[in-house]
Amino acid sequence: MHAGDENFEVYLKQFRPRAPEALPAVTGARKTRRALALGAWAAAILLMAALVAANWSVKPTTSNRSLHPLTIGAANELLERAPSVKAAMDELVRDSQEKSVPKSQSAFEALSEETVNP
Amino acid sequence: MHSNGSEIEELYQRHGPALLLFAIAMTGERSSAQDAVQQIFARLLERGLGDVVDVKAYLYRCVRNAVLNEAKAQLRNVALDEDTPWFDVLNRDASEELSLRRALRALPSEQRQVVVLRVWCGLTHAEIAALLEISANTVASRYRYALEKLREAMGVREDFCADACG
Repeated sequence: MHAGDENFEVYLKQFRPRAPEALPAVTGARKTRRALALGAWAAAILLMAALVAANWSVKPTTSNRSLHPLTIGAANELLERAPSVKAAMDELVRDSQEKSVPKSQSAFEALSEETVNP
Repeated sequence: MHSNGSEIEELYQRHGPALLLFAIAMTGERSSAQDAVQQIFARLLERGLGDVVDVKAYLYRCVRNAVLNEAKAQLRNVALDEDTPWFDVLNRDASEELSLRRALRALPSEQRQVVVLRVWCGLTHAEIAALLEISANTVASRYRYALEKLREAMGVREDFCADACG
């Protein structure tokens, strides 16, 4: 390399490359991101569980519907709404024994099969 | 070896600027070069250097591989960044920096890489040859051509004296 090249190289070396941006605290940032992700997952799971539990407790089922007590008021309302006494009785039995009573069986037949404990 | 955070930070302070300039010489722009260099050091902060013997050569190889992988992944020709300075202009005229940057950008990538590694990264011809996987003779000829083109592009005469211009 001749003298001109060496001088030019010295001149070029007087320029200093710019420093890169500061190194981010990668490890700390990654740990924080991981913790946030875990927290988000836990919150999502808890929320889902709460929603399922709330839905389950509110949703009426055949079994808990049959536990509703028959009051005089409810019976009167049923009799007013139904076209006949037989129809009212049929509806009452259908509500309480929806699964076990065949459609062809009348309410009186179904009631006669029930055992009444003294 | 260098495995704790403060030692990696020290390496970043010492080699970061030259590594970044080398990455810029490869990519042609600062942003993806910065990403490549930071990616290397972020990994080093997590895993350490292990049993690396020649740390400097290792860092340059990592940066080169990161840039090449990124280029393959993105399958794109990066547009050269016109505006961001590559060199500090604190003690120099900004127009000189611009002139040098333009001259470097005008070089073919392989010549630009060689001249950057030789002048600003302080690697020998043998180290550059090993890094770029080319012969030392190829390094020498690329370097000679690159200097000629830079001098011409910057309007510097051959009997130029560095002290007078510094």
